[in-house]
Amino acid sequence: MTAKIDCTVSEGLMPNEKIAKIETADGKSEVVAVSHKNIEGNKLMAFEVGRREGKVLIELPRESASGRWRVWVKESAIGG
Amino acid sequence: MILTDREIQAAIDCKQIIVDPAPDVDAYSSTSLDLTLSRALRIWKMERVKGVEQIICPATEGYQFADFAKEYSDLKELDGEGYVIKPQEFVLGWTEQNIELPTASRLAARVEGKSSLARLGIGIHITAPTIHAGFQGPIQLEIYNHGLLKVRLVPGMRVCQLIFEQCLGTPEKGYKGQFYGQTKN
Repeated sequence: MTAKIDCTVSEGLMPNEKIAKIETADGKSEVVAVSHKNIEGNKLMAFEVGRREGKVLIELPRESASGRWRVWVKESAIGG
Repeated sequence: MILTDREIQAAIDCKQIIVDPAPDVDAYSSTSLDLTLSRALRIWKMERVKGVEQIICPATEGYQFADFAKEYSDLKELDGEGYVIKPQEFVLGWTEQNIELPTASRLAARVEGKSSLARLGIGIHITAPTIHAGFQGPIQLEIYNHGLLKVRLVPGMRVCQLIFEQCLGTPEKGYKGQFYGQTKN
């Protein structure tokens, strides 16, 4: 299921690439370089793969700079 | 055929794949499972002396890689600071996780690098990614810094990923080769 995650967007290393920075459930940040097609405004288009205790496990469109594909985010970080 | 996250989890649940310690749910991607770096690294001590030629001949009868590695490398137990791998440096590492692929599971796997490290120039295997059906042990990583900068390797970092594949049929015998149950010693 698609999940739109709050993120901070900046320009990537090439045209059509964007850098999305999201906040994880434990207050850390994950940075991932994605296609501009994975960004809608200030939302990163990811995929929900699980939920637990107010947190949502999302799969990122690409591997993050720290090597993660999946990260826990707060439910409140997901919006339409 | 490559297993998806759900198939990997199902195979782990019914012991067709054994990963110890068991992976967290965030270790999966859609088609792979991330593994982490153990504390053990083998650092080569190949001091070069002018006029002295050192040649390895793996085809020699009785050659044992373990004997060579013990003689020419030191086992380093990493602390939280990790180890800084220099450009063009080669070290041996292992995954924290023990992996078992019981032969009857009809599964094999490939260990592959992570793009987050690859873009820094870090490779984690050298042309030998196959984890054969029947394999048991931590996975040995041939870590090479192809990049221009030093990179810090820290225990527990996501260092590689396993991609599981279904075998066509059951192998006649389990994998009991030279590297069965790869060890750090």
